[in-house]
Amino acid sequence: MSGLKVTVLACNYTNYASQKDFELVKDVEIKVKTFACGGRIEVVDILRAFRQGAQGVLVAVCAKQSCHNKKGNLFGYKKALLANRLIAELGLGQDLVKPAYVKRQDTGDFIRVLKEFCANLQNRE
Amino acid sequence: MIIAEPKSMTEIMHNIESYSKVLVLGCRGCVGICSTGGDKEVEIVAEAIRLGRERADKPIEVLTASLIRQCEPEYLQALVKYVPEVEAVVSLGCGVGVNLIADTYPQLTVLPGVNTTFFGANVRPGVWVEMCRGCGDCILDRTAGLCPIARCAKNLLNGPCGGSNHGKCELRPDLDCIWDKIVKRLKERNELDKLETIWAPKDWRPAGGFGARIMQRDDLQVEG
Repeated sequence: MSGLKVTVLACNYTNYASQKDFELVKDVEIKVKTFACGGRIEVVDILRAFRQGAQGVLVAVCAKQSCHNKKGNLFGYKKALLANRLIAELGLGQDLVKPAYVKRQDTGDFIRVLKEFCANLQNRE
Repeated sequence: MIIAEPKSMTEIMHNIESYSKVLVLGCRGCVGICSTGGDKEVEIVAEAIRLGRERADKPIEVLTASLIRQCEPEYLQALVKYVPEVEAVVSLGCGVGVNLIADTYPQLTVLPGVNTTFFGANVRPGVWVEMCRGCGDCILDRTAGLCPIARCAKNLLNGPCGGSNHGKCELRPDLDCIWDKIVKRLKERNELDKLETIWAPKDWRPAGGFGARIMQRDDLQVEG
């Protein structure tokens, strides 16, 4: 799948990637929206990303037991699962929303997860 | 409160297939509190409908609103302005709300957006448990406030069955045997004699079975 469009909804503390880092993910148009905490990412934000053209949405929240708001990451993860179910119920496809626990302030882990997700979507074609 | 669970988007989309303008209507009463039909869920369902229809190349206009309660005629008056405007209402209220909208606005197509399930309590975040079945002949005064009609798998009225196993139900091991709890609690209170009294057969007539149950309070009804 060339020209893949992926939106990343990320907790502020998971995404420290620069434009150069995103260039490591080939053939993908990536939009990033950063939130104060993974817990602030709402199901509606995920659905809206699809309406705005995303073909997949990565929800990146802090690794378990590292959210400084205690459980924001857990709620963000669960909301991504709910959005994923709704997307499937709408018949748009399976696993188009990927929730991911990502190491805080670790661009390497963040880009690794993003690359894996994009590769998964690209391989579906 | 009345507990409801979301209908699948597949079912909602099927129900509104032929419409091009709908209202997703929430309720800030019970279903709002149990996170199934409040303002937040209205936005989710509305956005999901828009997305599904855009991707199917059949765009739809989705309006959103929430009422304080869908089960009171006075709050439903706010729907008047939508009647000529939309082809259907997807109500995220409980079945009471859907019925009252249908009664109040016969010309309006109203569709359920949730499945109404039971009367329950929010025992911990994300978990609701049935506590009352609305049988109309409450016996909680005799059972330490714990209802065997709603909470015993066999609706027993005479104590635990032979399947009560270390405080658990034989049919549902995840469920506490409510009669085990009732007996233990009455024992702690020295009120076991309550169970020695022979109860008259339970009157099931108030539980329904003859059409809609109606409660009338004469003191609250005045002419004019």
